Amino acid sequence: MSQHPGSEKPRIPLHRCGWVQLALLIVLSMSLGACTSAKHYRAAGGTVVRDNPRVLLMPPDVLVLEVTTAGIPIPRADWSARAQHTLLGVTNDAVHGRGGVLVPYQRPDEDSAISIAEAHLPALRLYQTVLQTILTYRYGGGGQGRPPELVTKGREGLSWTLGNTVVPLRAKYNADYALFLTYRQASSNAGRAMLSAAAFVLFGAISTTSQSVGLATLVDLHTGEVVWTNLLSGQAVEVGEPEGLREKGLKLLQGWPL
Amino acid sequence: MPALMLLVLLGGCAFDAQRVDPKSPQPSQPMEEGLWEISRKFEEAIAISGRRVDDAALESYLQEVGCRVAGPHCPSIRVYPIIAPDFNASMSPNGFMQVWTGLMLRAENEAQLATVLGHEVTHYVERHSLERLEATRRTANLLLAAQFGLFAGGYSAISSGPVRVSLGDVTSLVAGGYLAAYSREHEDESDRGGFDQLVKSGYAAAEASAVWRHLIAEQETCDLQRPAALFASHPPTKERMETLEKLANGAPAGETGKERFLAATLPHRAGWIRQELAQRRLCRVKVVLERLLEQGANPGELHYFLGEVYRLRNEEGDDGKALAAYSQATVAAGAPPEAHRELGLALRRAGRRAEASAALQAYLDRAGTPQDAVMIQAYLEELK
Repeated sequence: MSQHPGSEKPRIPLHRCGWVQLALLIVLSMSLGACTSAKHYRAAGGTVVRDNPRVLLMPPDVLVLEVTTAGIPIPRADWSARAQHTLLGVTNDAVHGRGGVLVPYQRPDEDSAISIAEAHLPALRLYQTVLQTILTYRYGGGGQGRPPELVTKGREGLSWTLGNTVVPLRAKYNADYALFLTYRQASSNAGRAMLSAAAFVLFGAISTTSQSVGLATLVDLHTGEVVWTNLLSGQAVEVGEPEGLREKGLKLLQGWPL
Repeated sequence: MPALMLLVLLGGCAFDAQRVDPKSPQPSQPMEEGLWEISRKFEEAIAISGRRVDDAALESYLQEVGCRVAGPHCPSIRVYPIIAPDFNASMSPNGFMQVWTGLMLRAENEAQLATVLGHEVTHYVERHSLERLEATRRTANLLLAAQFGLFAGGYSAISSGPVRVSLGDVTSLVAGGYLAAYSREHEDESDRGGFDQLVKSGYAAAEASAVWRHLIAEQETCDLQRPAALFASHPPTKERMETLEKLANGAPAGETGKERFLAATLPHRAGWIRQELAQRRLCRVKVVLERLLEQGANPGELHYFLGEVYRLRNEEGDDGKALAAYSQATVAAGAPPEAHRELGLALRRAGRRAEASAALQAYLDRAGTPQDAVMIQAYLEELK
């Protein structure tokens, strides 16, 4: 486990993209240090690892922004699609490497904005609320501070569950786990990079607008338990060269119990 | 002077995007593809969120009104009613619109609702999000160049009386003002575009200015420090209201669609008022209730909530006002059973035991088996 106690940790929920979250992410990405850090937690009571696991991939949430020379973040659909493709490739390989299979979640209707079937909404909404709590009490606190302590959950491991809301998910996909993936990246364009270099030479200041944040969560669909979370933050990588993103993907899956 | 020069420079940043072609509603360039992608994710989140009003009938009604003002763009527009107690609506670059419950509470008829929906549709058709982002990008780039240029020229700071303002601040202020003006341009364009669609769709043109008149009244009566959510981007100036009034003067007569609007929204209205009350915006709720009372639909419900405003406000004399409002509610159409309960409790506080007893009994008779039945029974025992 690559824990960095006391290192800077994001304080925002990254599970869904809203305008507010996006704005917060941009602020966050600018305030993060240059170092890469990953911090994961596993279920406090240990995890039953199943052989040849079937892992249900929930709709991934990948977004890449280009930071212009003057520092304005511009969303890039093409970069986002490329980054998602690479990250999912890494995830697929990792699941296969354990003798398992990655099953993508099927949208109920390709042409509709509804991405989650009605029967699975209770699980998803509960997940979002639980994740918010986990982010606060495991990754919150910000800066050099420790996350606040929730007396019923202590400070170590994870002891959160989605309960029987996961039953319909398990029934439909016959999967052992559900995997949630979020990745955000703000990449400086060439002008911004040159400006940062010039600023460094002239003033010794380092631009921190080129940043990435990832979050991965695994839920046991037999018990509903959240068995692993990992939060990654660090510098952005070149989207056009998949090697950097593959490395990010591997780091994002670091410490998972499969 | 440097600031003035910069302002002239920034004039070159305006960006006029092509209108959306209804036959082929697509992003016009890579940056807009990114905007649509974010909007799609946001829409997916909203579509499954608990904040979406869970009523297919209301949603399809809003969709119908949206379609009517969107004309040929109808297939690209998707309208979601969102639980949010304030006056607001917003349009995303990809055509998905959120209409807040606070807006539906405040509108008096379909034409007023259509005014806002038409305004929002125009933001979409004219690609205002793209224009704003592109203008921001260009302005920021120019600003950066200007700052470097001014720095190189040795103008590191200017003096302004006792306050020393750095050039960075000045340039940012200029750019901020410029961008705000650009946004007002969009608002004017959307006001006019929305108005044209309103008239084309056969709605009563005079209702367009009524929306702003009511909002200004709410704002002024309650002396709001923090303006309503919509005002952040849609300043409700008198000028704006007057422009719409003038436009309406020459417009053909149209319908208000009041009956349809009430049929779709009245089943929800009590819940929406409760949401507003939960925010403790008592002054604003009072202004809205008094205005809606003039419109006449379900007055019992409105009198009841007016009583609630007085009860919660709890200022000198509010006890009596609350009692009077509850009393009016119980003899008017559309009062919820709770009006009888609150009347009973207010009478009990006033020492009018027999009347209190009758009102509480009336509550139990109307509410079936409410959760607080045991407590009310206890009051009735005590009042014997």
